Amino acid sequence: MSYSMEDSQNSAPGSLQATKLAGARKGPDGQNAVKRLQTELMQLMTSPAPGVSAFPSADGNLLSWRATIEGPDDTPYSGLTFKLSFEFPSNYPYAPPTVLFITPIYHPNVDFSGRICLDILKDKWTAAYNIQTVLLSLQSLLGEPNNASPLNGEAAELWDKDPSQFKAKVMDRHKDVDED
Amino acid sequence: MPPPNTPEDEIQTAAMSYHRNLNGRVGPQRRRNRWSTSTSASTSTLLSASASPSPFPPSPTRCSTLCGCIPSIDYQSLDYETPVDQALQCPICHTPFYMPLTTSTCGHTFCTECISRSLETQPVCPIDRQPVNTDRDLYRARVICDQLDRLKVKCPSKGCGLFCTRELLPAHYNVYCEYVLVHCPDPTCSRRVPRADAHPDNGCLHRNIVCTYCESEVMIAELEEHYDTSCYGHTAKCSHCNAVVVRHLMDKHLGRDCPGTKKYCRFRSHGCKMHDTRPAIEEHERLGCVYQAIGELKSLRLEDRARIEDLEHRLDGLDARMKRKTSPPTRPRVGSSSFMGGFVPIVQPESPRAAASAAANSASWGSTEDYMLVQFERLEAEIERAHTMILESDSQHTMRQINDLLRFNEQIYELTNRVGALSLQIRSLAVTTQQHNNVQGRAGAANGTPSSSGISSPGGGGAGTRGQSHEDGRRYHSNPPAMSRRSSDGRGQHPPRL
Repeated sequence: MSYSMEDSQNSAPGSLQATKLAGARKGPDGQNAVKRLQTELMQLMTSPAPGVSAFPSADGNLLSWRATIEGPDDTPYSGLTFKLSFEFPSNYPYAPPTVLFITPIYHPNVDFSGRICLDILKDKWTAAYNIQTVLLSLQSLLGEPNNASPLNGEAAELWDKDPSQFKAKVMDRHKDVDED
Repeated sequence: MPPPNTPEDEIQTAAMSYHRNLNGRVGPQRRRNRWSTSTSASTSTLLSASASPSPFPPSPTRCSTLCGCIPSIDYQSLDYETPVDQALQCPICHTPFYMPLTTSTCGHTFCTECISRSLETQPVCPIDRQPVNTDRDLYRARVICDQLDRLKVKCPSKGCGLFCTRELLPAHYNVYCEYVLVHCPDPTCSRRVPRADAHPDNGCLHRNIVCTYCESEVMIAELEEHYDTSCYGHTAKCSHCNAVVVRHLMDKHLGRDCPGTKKYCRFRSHGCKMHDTRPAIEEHERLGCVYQAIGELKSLRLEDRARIEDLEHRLDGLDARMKRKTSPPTRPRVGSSSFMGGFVPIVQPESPRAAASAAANSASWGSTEDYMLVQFERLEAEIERAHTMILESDSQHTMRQINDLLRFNEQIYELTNRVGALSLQIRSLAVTTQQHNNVQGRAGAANGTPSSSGISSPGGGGAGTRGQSHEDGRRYHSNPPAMSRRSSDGRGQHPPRL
């Protein structure tokens, strides 16, 4: 097989081409994502990390998960648990999952609809991240918010100025939710 | 070469080019394109295939081992015999690496497909975000490949269950595995059959034949399944035991299970004449057939007979060899022992014994070379022994010489001392004699009369001198150690004070 022929099939490997290819790959990608999520599930079951857990949602779709984080000690979230939802794209792990807080949370980097501002879930995502690392990152985000780019400006201000009132707001906002 | 038609074809070519690439560098741009084209091609084929009812994509009928018509091995869903070390798993797909590539900037390893797809979105290492250039910064780490090659995996084809090293899996799967679905031997048929059945003589296994039992039309490839499940007359009553048996298993039933059929005792070959229904025979065998013991004895006897024959055969051979050897080997042995005996007498008592044992052993030696080798070793050992003994006697000799020499040295030393003492004595005597003579001469010259202290008589004087000399001699005799000490002190040249 000659390379010239092969190259002619792919003469302009630019960003346009890449997006086109990514779009065309939907079929096998879904399989790859499911395969990878299956191994992740296996790893989460066999060696769970303390304080975090995750499981596919009840409808049997492996591209949609529910996860739980326990608030770390020595933070305003100590003793609270938070539910999150993970939605995986079909080209996971080459693209990040969409992660939302289901449990209402008062935090500088989370808005009131549960959306999270975290670089590794956006532009800093790499294929080497997985559910467990994301959950651990979120857990540490609870104790160390990035107040430079807040989604909840009031929370960012209170975090530095009035920790006791911050804690009160956290407790006020937190409430346990049932699944969906 | 025709353009690639199947995804498997593409992937396989890519895999082959990877394995061929032995200098460790992979042409990354091309490789990426390869993967891109292959996956996109596979997508299109799979999509088109999903529309057709056949589970396999329709592909042209070529069916050599590497034509790509068999589904390629999916390395990401292989079963491994033992859990694979985390270090050998790709951080992207979380399965053991397939065609690993390592970054030269930060040394992280990924599957070729995983890293190229990740680099498409971001040209950085997924672990630490070091910039990675697809063309320059990826290489193939041989040590990782070797480790992966040694992992034991299960053959992915359904029903096979063979475990082999991952290195050998492609050969097994692509060429040998009988469970892999390949093209039907009929070139006009596009369906697949297990490789074991795909023999040109079998013809197409997808044509219909009429079932022998239920008279419905069945495809040959599905005949077994038909018998087991849907065939109407597929069961029949056993004529012996009235059990309902699947028909095509009737022979098996009659041969193994049916309680109604008659069979012979297991020890028929030993002489048992028992011929009865299966349960009766089983009971008979359980209680212990008399011919069992006889059979055992018989087989033991046969074994013994075979052994005896074997030994006889060997003995004959050895006898013949001994006859051939008896004259030549004795000569060197006698020569050697006489040689050793003449040289080192202590070896002699051992030598005949060694020779005797050698003679006894010679019967069991397989060949002339062995015999010569043993002889050679024996001679070598004797030479070694002689050598040590020579060394020993040599050292003894030297010791004795040194001892003698010491004794001689002492004696010489003593003699030297005595000579020194004597010479001193002589000198002192000479001095006294001279003085005496001088006094005598002066007295004689001065008054010519002998002094009162002079010699009263020559004899008395002589006796006196002799007595004095004797006394001196005794004194000197008792003195030698002191003298020798003085002489050793370097004061020996002073005349003794008298």
